[in-house]
Amino acid sequence: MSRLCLWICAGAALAATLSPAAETPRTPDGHPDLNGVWNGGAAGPFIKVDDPNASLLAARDGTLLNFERDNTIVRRSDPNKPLYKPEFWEKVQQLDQDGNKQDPSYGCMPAGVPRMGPPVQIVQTPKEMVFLYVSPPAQGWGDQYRVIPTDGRAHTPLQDLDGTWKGESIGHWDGDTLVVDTIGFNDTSWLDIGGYFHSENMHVIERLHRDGDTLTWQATVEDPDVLIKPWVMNPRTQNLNPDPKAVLAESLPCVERDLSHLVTKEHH
Amino acid sequence: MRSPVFFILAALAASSLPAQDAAATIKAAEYALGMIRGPRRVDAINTLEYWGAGYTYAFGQAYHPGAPWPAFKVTYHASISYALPAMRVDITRSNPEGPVQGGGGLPLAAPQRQIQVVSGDFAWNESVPGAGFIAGSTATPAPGAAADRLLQLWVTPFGVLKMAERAGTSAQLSTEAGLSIITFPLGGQTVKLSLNSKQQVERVETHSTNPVLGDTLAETTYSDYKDLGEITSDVLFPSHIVQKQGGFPVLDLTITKTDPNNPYVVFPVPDNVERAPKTPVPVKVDARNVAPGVWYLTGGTHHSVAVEFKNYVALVECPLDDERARAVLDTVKRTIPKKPIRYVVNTHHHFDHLGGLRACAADGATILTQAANKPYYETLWPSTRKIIEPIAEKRVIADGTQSLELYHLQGSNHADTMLIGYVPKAKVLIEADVYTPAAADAPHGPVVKENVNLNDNLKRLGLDVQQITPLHGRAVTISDLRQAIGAN
Repeated sequence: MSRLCLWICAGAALAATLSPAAETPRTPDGHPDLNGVWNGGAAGPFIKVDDPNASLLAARDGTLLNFERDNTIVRRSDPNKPLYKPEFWEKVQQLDQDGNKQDPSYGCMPAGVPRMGPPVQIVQTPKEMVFLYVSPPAQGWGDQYRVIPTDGRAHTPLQDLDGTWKGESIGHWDGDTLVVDTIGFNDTSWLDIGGYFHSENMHVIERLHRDGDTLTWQATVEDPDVLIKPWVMNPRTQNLNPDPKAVLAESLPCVERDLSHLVTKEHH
Repeated sequence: MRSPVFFILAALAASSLPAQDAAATIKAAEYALGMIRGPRRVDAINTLEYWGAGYTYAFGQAYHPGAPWPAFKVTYHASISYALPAMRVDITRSNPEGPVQGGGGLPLAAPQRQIQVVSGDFAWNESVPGAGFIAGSTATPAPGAAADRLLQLWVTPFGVLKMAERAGTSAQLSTEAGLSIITFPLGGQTVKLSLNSKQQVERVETHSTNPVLGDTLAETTYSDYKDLGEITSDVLFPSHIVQKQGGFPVLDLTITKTDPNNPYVVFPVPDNVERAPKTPVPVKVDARNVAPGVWYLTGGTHHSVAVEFKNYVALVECPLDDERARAVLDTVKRTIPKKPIRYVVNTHHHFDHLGGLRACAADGATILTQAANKPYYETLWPSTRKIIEPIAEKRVIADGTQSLELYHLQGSNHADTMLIGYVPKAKVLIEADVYTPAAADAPHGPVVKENVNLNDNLKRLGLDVQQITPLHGRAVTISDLRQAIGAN
């Protein structure tokens, strides 16, 4: 499962090779043009390739075992976390402690919104956006898509929706920012590692903004059933793939073979 | 990239390095504890939880003057966010094994849970974790505790290394007995950090100001480092923590489990805590004439009583600190003008009843206290040598118009130097800590042995008490005491 970091790091390395931001192109209707393959990746909050001391595999004592432990410690040190109601603190901690078994993404389940993050390809039309996703190798949720109307329609009443991993999304433009509003979830997915569960009443607002050849995505999670206040997730930046012929690689099929062999609760 | 070997070599060479190499030694210590992680070699420990059991001790509440602080048996759970910074300490206290003697709330009628939280500038006490966000729970602001609680956070092994690193060039390296010592400024004081031969934090010394002891050393020692996580993390934490203050332990914990992995350690600040004034409540003294020549001086947590004689005043108790003492003195001078305070009576040696004593005696009053206190006070405050008059069992102050009888209370488990006062003319009893009346409308709780012992002493001494002016709580009659012990 440590392949996740390799994937992130490789993306980060690619991002570093891209040229500075260009002018933001627009579609005929005047909105920023979000079309393109946005799999350039970017430096995450913990790994920055501009650090001359950085090394992708270095860990305490240089062993792979310690790499896993280092990776776990570092990934989980993000101080930005959803603020659950106190009656759920123990549940979050328990889910986290048993994350190897409880985290749905470890069992080939979809990541769901917002954990699936920003799309890696966007197809934009005047009345809808199509978001395409490829899962990281460590998370076997496969190729995913979302079709998001931007024609001004309203949400289906929540009680008429069957809860799903991706929910029902509708989009609108707030100036030059695309706002995607999603409701109608199941309560099976997590928001992130760490046992960050949610209820079926979750409401997610994603904001996507193009600045030159970079796309910034940020999600806000509202879930008054379980959260004290909305959680504003860390923004993530994707770079436009400069290759006009770029296509998305197919996700590897997810066949879970590891979980039954885990003998400790060590995270990976 | 600096390898682990670099840090280790840097640490080994520390004794010969100049002060500016403190930074390398701190890094070596961080590496030794498993704080430095990942490709970028960053300090990745942002949160920590640890669980243990052992003892906390009631500082300044010894049974006998100069003896160790009395113990509570505890289970202990600390949650820390170094990033915020914030800390929640969740303790359940119970009576220790063996005889229970001393103050600080001992003996407990039942196990008692205390949850103390600090987050940035805010401090509060919780009835349950997350109080203030749960219906029926209580979050009580404790703004005066924020600085002390943050200091407790920063003296943990990871905390002290983080702060030493943040001190930058202000951190200085030296050696003592071949081991590395780092000193650095923190919150107006100098923190001294000692590393053992494995570059692990072994001892942290800080100072605080105490109304009785003055500049007071707090020394925390850490030993037997292990990876105590249920999930292996290579993060080492001491399995034994001992903190001493004023020369005796205030904390002695055996740590059984840590979790440096758990990302979910949170400290939301309740609205009422956020709105609470941060400045301390001004000291207030209310004077009430409870009997001819007897003034009950209240207005805070600790009271005093002034007894008026023909040409002077005897003041019973100058508690807490200089500020309270000055306010009490001003009130006495206003209430009973033109009569000097000739005697200041100290009921017992517990610090909360002792802190204002020197200020009250500064104008030339004689200090009356139980005889066993005299050598202790004279060691603490050599300047009081000539003004302390010891009382073995009984002392009477009288001038023909008024009298105040002082007796050594027998059989108290609270303090073995306890004095009670009795004003025969008004039939008023003055006592501290051995009977604190419940609120007027509160139901009676279980019988308290100290209350029974007080009543036994009143009988032994043949005192015809009608009214009681306790130095905590409210003035009551003797029948209240008798009801409390089921003697009516």
